[in-house]
Amino acid sequence: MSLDDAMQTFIIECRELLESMEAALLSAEEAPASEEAINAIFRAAHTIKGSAGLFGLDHIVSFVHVAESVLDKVRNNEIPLDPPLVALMLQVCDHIGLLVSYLEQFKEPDNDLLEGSAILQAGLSTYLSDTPQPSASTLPVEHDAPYESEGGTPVETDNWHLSLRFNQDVLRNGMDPLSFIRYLGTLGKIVSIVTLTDTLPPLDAMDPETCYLGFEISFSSTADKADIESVFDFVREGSQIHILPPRSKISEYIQLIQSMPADDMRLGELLIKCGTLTRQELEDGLASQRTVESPDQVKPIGEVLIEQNVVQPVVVAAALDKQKAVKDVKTAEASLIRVDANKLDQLINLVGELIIASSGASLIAQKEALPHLLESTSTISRLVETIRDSALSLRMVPIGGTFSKFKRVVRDVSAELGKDIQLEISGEETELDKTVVEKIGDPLTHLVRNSMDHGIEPAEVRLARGKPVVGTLKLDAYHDSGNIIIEVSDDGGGLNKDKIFAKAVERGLIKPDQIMSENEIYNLIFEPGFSTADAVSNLSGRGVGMDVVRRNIEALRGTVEIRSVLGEGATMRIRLPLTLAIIDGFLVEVGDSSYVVPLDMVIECIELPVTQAGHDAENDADFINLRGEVLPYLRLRKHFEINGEPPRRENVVVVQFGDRKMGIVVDHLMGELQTVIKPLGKVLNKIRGIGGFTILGSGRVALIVDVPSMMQEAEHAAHEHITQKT
Amino acid sequence: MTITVNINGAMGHVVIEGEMTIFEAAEYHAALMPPVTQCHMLELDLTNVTEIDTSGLQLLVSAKLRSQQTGSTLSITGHSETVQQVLDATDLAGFFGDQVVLTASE
Amino acid sequence: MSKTVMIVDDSTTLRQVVRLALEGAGYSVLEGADGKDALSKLTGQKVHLIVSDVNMPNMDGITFVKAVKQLPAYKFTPVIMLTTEAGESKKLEGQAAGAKAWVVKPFQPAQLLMAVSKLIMP
Repeated sequence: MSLDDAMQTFIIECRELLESMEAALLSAEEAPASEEAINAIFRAAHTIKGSAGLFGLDHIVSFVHVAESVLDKVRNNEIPLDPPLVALMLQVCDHIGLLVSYLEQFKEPDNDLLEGSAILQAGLSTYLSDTPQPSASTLPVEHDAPYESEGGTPVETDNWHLSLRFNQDVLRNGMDPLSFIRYLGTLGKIVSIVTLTDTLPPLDAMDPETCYLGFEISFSSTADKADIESVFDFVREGSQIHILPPRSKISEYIQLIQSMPADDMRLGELLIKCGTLTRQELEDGLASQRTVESPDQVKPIGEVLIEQNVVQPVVVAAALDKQKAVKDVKTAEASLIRVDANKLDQLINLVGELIIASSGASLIAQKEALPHLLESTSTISRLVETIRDSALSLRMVPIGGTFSKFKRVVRDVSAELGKDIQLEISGEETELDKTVVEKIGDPLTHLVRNSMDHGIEPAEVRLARGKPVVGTLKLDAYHDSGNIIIEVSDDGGGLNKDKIFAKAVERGLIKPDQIMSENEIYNLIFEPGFSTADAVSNLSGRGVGMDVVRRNIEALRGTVEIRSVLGEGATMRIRLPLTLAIIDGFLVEVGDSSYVVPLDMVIECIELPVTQAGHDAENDADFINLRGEVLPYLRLRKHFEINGEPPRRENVVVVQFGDRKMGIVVDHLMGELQTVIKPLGKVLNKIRGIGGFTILGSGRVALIVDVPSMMQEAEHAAHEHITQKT
Repeated sequence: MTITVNINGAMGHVVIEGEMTIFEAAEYHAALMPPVTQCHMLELDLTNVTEIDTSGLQLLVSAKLRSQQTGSTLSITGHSETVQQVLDATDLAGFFGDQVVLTASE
Repeated sequence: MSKTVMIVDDSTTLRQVVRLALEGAGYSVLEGADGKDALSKLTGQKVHLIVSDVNMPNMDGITFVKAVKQLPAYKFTPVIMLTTEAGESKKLEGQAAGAKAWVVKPFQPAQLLMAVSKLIMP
């Protein structure tokens, strides 16, 4: 680990802190913030400042310091966290984010950035106007004024003199005087030292945990007084630490001597012994002192020579913060470890290879039909399956983090639109693959913006329709048979079927006489170049259409569908696979080729009724009667133009996706397998009906059937066949 | 820490090993009392003392002072490097008057 | 045998930087993410010095120091409190709890190293 790594940690940590700060601020906007929430906001600022200080990032420290000071006042109930302050703090969050981005990109802070800091700082300081704040970037260092001494001649020595009598409790407090003396040695040279044992009681009377030793030290150093004094910062309380600079006036030594409980001569001797004073100097000093001596002229040593810490009344610790923080979550956080996402990907890739290798072994075992081998390969398969699940779960993250980002989006967009819209979030704990989470943000943002822009009506329309003035946008997530469903719903006007149809005709997307189901009409809004808004608003003018949303979602092997009730609202439902990497598949064969159908979509397998066999060989699709239900089906052989004759008995794999079903006609059913999805190269990417490929245990390649796109195709074909049914 | 005390009439031999810090001070104090008060000739072996702080030092000083007052002998027969460093840093090597291989001041 | 310092702070960055600085000077370093975490890691360890933040989730620094001072193995262990320039009352509270040394946040690694080396040598 290096400082660069630590800087990366700092950047990541800042992002996380800013996120939680933002979330807390946004919730403070809705309801008065709790003590914990305010403390969390404060702590985030405090931590960022502290960490920035470690790297000497003074521009961040000083900026965050002002925000922290304001937050400190909020924390102490001196000022309320009212909406204007929340708004300002959100800007502060954004600005800190910007400061961090500069770091991330190794950009030096430029004028724009610093100006931004200055503007916000000015805004913040209006909250602080009554108390001037000390600058945070410089630590309070007590620099002494040039030492003014009273009369008398300077003594000969070039050495400092230190007179140390320690608080009796220093040892119990974990402070070892020897350690301080050792540290003193790093600032200069200890010329001589006298260890004082005067106060040491006889062995039987001593308390072994009390400090009795004192020291007189003659010290040669170029350090300044503050530095030398600071050595004893931690033990000053209750101790007598006297430090005399080199060439102090003799009278100062005399005062030192007199301040000590030991009798004058004893300490005088010690000073001589240390080499600090010569005997002559001592005698002259004492003599002159006697001549001027009067009680009020001898200044208390504390005033002149030493800088005793003002001992403030110890605050009894009764008033402890009752920070019963958001315990569970925080505790969980504390036990987390950060792992490079690449390492996880690598692990999952390896698990993928392991799965292939293990199915290879199973295949051999089956061929050889050795019972022992079969037994052990099945054990291995089971274990590999467990490893796969736990490896994948490592990459699973709750969607809550993504959802909570929308608080800000909804807040900002509603301000932009002048609409009053509240966000309801549920299903935050629903987990999905991190790679999916990363990629779903953009499409989701677009859907949210779309719903707010086009879905939720302006207040006056809502009032006229007898709806609550405040519009509601809901984000929900849940698991549904191996998929995750993310819903964006609004209580707006819903989609207007006729309007969409008319617009689509106008745009030349469909023919005026085309017969379409409600769903198909709704789906038109995902066609390239479609807009339902009568007036192009600020938001929809962004140049990204809903077609991009669908493309992004399809790239994740997902689909999006729309439910809408005119006048009551619309729901966009995104259906995504839990993970992109590995699926349970159902292996089928057509001719010499192998195909994998995602197992979670397979409902059942039936034999193709003989009446159908060969009957429609010229056609791509037809129907069979599945227990009274009309089931469209599609022949893979035909679809992929595979040569050769189908076997006498063909099989149908019945698949379901969403609420639609279809049959896929294949030659042979080979059974279940776990498989790793390998993406197709760019060249093959365009092939309809193929979602990827995989390598079988035998080393052969199998194509993975993309059921949703195949389903669309089958339905298209079906339409051309019989338009009276939809 | 371990402290091994052997008292044979007026002769005593004490071996201290490990740390001689505030954490153990009370124990050392209690363990040193009998040999220091009973023996006229006491030998302290500090060869294997790994660490010594002010509390350990002042125990040794107090024991030595007592021996001086009562006219008995307390000698340190072996110093670990750590002990020696501390005695040098506090200029107490001379006070103990034992044979010390190295002294900083001379 | 190098001395072990435990750094208790909820900021990963801070812990990492402190670790770098202290390990560079020859100390061994243990980390605690908050008071509770640190307390659980102290048992069975020999820690010669504790550096603790004040304001932390789960268990704040003051409560932590009080708890540490209750442990027989740590009753004399020196504690450096990381205080803020504004937190004079916290500093005193920390001292009452048993943390007699302090470093003011924000600090640079060298400043903490200086405080640590006053109390214990590596």
